[in-house]
Amino acid sequence: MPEESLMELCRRLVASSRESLESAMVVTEDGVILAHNPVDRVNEDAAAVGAAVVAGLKYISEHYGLGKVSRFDVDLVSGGARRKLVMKPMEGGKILILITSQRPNLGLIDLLLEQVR
Amino acid sequence: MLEALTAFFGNTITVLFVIQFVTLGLALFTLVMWQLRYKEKVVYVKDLAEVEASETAEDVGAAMMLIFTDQGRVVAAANIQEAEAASALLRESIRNLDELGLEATAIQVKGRGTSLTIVHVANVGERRLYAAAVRPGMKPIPPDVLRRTVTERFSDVIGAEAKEAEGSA
Repeated sequence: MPEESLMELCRRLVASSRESLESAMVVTEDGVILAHNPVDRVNEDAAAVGAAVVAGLKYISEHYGLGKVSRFDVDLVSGGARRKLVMKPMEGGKILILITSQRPNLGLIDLLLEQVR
Repeated sequence: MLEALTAFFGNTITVLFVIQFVTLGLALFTLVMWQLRYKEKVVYVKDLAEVEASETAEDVGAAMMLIFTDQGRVVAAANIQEAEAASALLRESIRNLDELGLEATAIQVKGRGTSLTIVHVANVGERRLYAAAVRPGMKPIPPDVLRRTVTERFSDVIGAEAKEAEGSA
């Protein structure tokens, strides 16, 4: 998928989420950011951590026979604020990382993620 | 008293030897009993934890269960091979988030036909206690359900860990 398409994917996810998503980004397995939205704000920490967490949990999943992992959800507490970090492995070894707002519509996020391959 | 004992044993030297032997015997007896009781207690806690882990896994419909601390120490495990290796790997994933000042309260991994749920159960002294459970099927164990079940089942172990942490502090 070209970089423009990834940028469009991130923009569409954030725009369609009805404020359930604060940001979306696509990173490589090494944590390199390929695309992100909002375009004026990039969370490099989330990209690095997301890639590391996915790598670790993927290894555990494979080692303990969980099969191919389709999604990772992490509930986070940071400075009293609760958010979710949603990560989905994509084709070509890329990872889609979503950061939710404090009160996200998880059903809507599930629906939006179903369309991502 | 000493005179009576001397009269009984014949001389004072023999009395002193007897007293020394009795003291030594009592010390050895105490040591052996303490060792036996300690071993019994350790085995009991270990067995109990395994049984509790199996029962907790059954309660939440999990195939595997692992309870570990943020230092990677295994508290209890059921139906899981290389529990120490698994806890070390899980701890690393959690630590990645910690390093950014983000505290992970729950992690869900959805696989094809299996799901993994990891929850922060409780703070025990300075340590954080986590539970990880693998459930067959696409529906992962809700974090709140896993947390509540583990807290109820392991209230004794969590209590013991808390006392241990207090003692070492």
